[in-house]
Amino acid sequence: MLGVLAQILAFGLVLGCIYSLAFVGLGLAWGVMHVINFAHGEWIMVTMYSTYWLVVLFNLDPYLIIPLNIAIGAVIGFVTQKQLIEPVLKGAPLSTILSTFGLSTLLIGIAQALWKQNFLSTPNKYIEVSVNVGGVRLSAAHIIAAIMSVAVMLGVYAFFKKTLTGKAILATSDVIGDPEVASLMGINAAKVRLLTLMLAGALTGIAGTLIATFYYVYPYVGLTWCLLGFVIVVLGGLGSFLGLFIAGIIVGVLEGVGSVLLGTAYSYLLVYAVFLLVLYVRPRGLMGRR
Amino acid sequence: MRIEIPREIAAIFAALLLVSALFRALRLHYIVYTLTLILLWAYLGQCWNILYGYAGQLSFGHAAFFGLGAYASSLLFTNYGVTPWAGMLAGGALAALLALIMGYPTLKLRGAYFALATIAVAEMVRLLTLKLDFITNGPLGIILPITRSAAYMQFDDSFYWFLLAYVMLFLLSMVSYRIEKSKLGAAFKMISEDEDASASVGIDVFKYKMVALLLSAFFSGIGGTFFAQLTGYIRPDIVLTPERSDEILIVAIVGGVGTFIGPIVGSMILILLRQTIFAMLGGGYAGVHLIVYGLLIIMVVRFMPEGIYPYLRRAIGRYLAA
Repeated sequence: MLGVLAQILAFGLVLGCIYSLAFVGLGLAWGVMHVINFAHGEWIMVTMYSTYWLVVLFNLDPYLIIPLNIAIGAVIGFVTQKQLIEPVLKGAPLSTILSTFGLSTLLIGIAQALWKQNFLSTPNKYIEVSVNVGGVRLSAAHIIAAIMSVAVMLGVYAFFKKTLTGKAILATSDVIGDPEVASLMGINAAKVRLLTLMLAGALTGIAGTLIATFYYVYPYVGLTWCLLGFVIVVLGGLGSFLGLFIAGIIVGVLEGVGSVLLGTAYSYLLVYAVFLLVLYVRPRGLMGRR
Repeated sequence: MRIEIPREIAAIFAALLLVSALFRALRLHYIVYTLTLILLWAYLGQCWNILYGYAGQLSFGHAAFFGLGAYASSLLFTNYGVTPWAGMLAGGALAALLALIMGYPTLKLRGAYFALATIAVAEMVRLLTLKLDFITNGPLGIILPITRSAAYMQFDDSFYWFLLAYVMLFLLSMVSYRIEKSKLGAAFKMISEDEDASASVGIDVFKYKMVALLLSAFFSGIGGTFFAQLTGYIRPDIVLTPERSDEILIVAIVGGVGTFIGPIVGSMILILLRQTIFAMLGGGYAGVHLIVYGLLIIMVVRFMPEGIYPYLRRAIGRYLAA
């Protein structure tokens, strides 16, 4: 029993690290520009597919694909912002949700038309090696993904705290900063929005690669991940890096507990139930500013 | 009490009946069936429109209400021999109960939170239906007994299916029209435009949003029963999939929200596109209809944010004036 508990906690911790990287972009778009990106899961899906195909066709090491996936992610972020978000920003309050929802449906359709409903696992040696730490077994793919996620997240944190660009992005958010003051200081809000979405896209590029090493890809993979992302971002609270990280771990552990209690396919039942509970009890999340 | 039938409703429904009677006379049963699907999806779009178009609450999870209605009547029918005419009301009531449970914690929140909660709830309903297989028969679903009896809502002639969908859409159009013209509709509209201002003039925002959700869920559940009877076979991945929720939303958004006619226009577009794609490509290219749906939403949200119906109406108005 204790062994199972340790396994769940360790696995939850590892997943939590990966989740925080996968969904920091979702939280940024929401917190900085009030854009709830319904296509975030499909952004992840795109780079998961690119990882799968590059590994299968060219026998590459998955981690070598990261730079390319960063570029792919940034381009998707750019197109999403220019074509789907900026033009409808002045419309009805929820139009960006609908617009990105359209993109999500489009990408799911493309994936289904091209590669059918198949579940594809990216072949790699890291998933086959498992490491035993004090009775807890984890695959090398999971451990590498967690370590790289933490490293990238530290980089992202430093970017926002230390660089002028990072500070400018946060300043335009009305959760963390003050958009009016920011515009008085000469910050170009449209440029900041574009930068934010490209950064969010680039980060999903890294996350998508890492996730593909241990999780299968299929057309609806983004739907599960997107919902998971909303749960984590809401639970963590907008505008808090630490909140995101803690929420990621909580959800990771919940998933583990859920699989033990209900079976793997139904572990999300517990996650969604907790999500509804959080909305009821504390909608601003664990560490949200408002 | 005298109930007036407004001119628009009379015109639309007279035209629909004429067209379908013509196709029936020509024995084009497939077209009558397609028309029935158009009416059903128009009906579901109107259900969704009550919640978003009138009261401003976005739902990505209407499949939950629809599916619950389908499952409730089908289980009552197969296990206890209850006629779906009664099962329909049970389905609607069960969907409304789900709405009450999910609305209580979520409708107090603003905008996007409710939308996110609807997806979570719909996924929970889908997963629970799969998991509780001793009640629902899990992923295999339910095959309805064949009675060929109108007493059990089964018809041999496609035209009777059409007529039933027709009556349902007519009644819901009347309800929608009454809401549009009533104080209830005015309160909904105000809430959808500005919740703070509505609260400050004494509108009980939470209560009105709940009323919209309950109405929407109840009618969606009834629609679910109709679908189960029409197809005779339901499964979680048919009636509870996110794709059903998405179609219901697309019908309303593409046609135009805020009026009962918008979803009718949207349904014609969506169902005709969908049936054409399925007929032309068969099952081989599974995702093509989703590509079309996605492009449709993106285009409409960007270029015709009010939907196609208001745009069409203005275009026709200009043409007639010129």
